[in-house]
Amino acid sequence: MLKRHCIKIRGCHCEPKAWQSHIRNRQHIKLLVVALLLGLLFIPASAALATSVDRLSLCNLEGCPGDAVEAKITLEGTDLEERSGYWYTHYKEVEGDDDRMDITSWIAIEPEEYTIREGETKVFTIKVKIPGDAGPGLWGATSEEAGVAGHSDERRTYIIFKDAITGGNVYSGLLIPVSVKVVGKPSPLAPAIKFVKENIMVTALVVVIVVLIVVLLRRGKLRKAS
Amino acid sequence: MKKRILALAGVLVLVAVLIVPMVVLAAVNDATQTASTSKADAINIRAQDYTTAVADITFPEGAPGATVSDPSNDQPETQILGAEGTAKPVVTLVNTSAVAYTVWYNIEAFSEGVVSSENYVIIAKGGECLNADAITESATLDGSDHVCTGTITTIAATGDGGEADERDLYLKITLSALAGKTGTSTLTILGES
Repeated sequence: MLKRHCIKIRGCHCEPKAWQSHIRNRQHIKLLVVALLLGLLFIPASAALATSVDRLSLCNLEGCPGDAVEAKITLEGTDLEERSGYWYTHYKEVEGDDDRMDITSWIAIEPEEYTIREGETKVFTIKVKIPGDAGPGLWGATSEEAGVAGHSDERRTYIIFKDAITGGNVYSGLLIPVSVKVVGKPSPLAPAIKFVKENIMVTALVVVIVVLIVVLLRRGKLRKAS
Repeated sequence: MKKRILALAGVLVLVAVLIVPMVVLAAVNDATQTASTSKADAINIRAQDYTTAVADITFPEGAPGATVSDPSNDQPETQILGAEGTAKPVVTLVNTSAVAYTVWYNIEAFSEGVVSSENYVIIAKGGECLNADAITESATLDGSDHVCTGTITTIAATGDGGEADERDLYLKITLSALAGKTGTSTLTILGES
């Protein structure tokens, strides 16, 4: 009967041994299907992720009074859903701060608003316009160590990005500290001095050669004159 | 004398000719090193399963002046106050970055002036939040960024052995005396490394 059934269903001529093997195979397939279904139950749903950024501080940017210093910062969308957000500046006021700590008015972020999808990257330009009358030294933080993780107490000026699933009211984001080292106006001879310092041996040889040639030419002239 | 000077100049030129290629050779004889850092994710605001994203938090209707401590998220899951293992936060905070963060919050004032005050508390994953009185930290409804206060104010880097990279956030509001109004606000959780 089993054999007949086999013939009827599969349209093949199976011997009893082959039939038993066939039954075992079918049992294995059933077990495999059950195991797969059970496995699916334990696969976690893909976790939602917030937007990521490529730098956690913009500290010790260098520039002269009147300069505009630029830095780039990139956001990457990692959430399954589109997120909408914006950038803004923040000053963390601490009692006793002097006027060097709040440099939010120096900073412009372009573009300020954004939407970002999973896998998308967006580059933003942070422009820091140093006023012409800014004195030399550190601005926006109390120490050059402010950019190091955990040095929150030394930070005062930040840029912040925050976003939410488009249409949502729950935002997340990161604070990124900003500080600027204002240096004095450089001398117009600075490039020449830098070149000489970098090529000191060659420069010294050239100078000696030139001096010798001048001496030679002068001697020649003197001989001719005499 | 002239010959001597010419000889010296010749030697110096020779030395210069020899030194320049040596300097160039030294300059190009650099080894290349490669290093990389991971990107930093913002703190994730998730549902009670610490996995699903949350877009909205809604407080149910209450009588004017009442305290409402059973908000729900858009999954939808409702905040449950109770002992360890029973309590369920309105949202969870998850850090997927390799750096620890100090947690900041920012809550704007509710439109229509429907809420007079808001409180929050951040606790360890799965911890107890027995009742509304346990939601102790006072939020400033001014839309400004503030460092979180309370026992827990930080979230550890991802993969922390003690599950300190996952936190529970509980909220409660006190409604104003205005009746028949509905207001909206935004909640922001920021991280600082």
